[in-house]
Amino acid sequence: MRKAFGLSTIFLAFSMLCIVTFSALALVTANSDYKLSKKVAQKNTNYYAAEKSCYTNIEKIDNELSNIYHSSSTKEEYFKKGEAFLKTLDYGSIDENNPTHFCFSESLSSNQSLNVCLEISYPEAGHMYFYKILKWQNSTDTELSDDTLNLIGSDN
Amino acid sequence: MRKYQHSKNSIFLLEIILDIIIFSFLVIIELKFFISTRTTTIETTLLHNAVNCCSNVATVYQAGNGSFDSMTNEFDHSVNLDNQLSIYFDKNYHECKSEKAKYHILVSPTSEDNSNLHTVMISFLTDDGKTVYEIEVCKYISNRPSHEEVTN
Repeated sequence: MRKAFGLSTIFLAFSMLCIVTFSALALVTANSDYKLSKKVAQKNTNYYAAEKSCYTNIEKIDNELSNIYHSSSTKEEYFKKGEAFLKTLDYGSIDENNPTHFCFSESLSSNQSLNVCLEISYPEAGHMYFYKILKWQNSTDTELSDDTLNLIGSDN
Repeated sequence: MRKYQHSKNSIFLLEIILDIIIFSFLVIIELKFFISTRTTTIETTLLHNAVNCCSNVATVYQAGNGSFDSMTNEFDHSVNLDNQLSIYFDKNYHECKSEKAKYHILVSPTSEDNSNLHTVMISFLTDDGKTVYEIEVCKYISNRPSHEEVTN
């Protein structure tokens, strides 16, 4: 009996310590997974919101190019009026080397954006549209992304 | 007169009682942790699958012509009621008939009919009507001149 004295307490303390540690770790992991899922959901929502905004911009350009097409008698006149119209838009920029190219971007998050570039095109038998989408790309600003690592003993 | 002596057994009994009290206290805390973990995991799984299902429906919608035709072709058991499309999912998030459904996706138009930019709200709902996730998705139909205009 003398040998058994204290053993139950030691066994209980050890087993309880293990179970408490495992349950706490499980809770922390589950919370991290939930936060990650919420981030993914938010990113998905932001992407579709940015996409809608881009298509709203494209719709304005497309409608105006359609009007220009119907009011122009020649291909040259169409491009001239189209380029002049692109210059009036304030939500993007024209490519200096090619005035028929128009680019704009919509923000996805603090360091990500959706970049879109269009080219005015003249409707012909092979391509019956007023524009071509040259670029539809997510880009990340790496300068703004936080890639620092907190180390034990560091000042930060 | 006999003198009463405490035996070692009573001290051992006291230790066991104390152990049981500590054990009970810690078990309550651990159970709370495990229940929270289970609840959070269920919510995470639900949100993750809701995002996936909504994205799948959004992709099918954008691949179509802005109407529900492409979705009714792709999702066999979907029901179009009052211009709102319902797509049903079972407990494993596979498409199923409405009788077996635990979740459903409601697709409802939010844009005007005369616009070329068609938008729909895609909502993932549980069987008790709680919205888990929703996204607004758009499909733009580009303007095209008629064939006669192009050939002329």
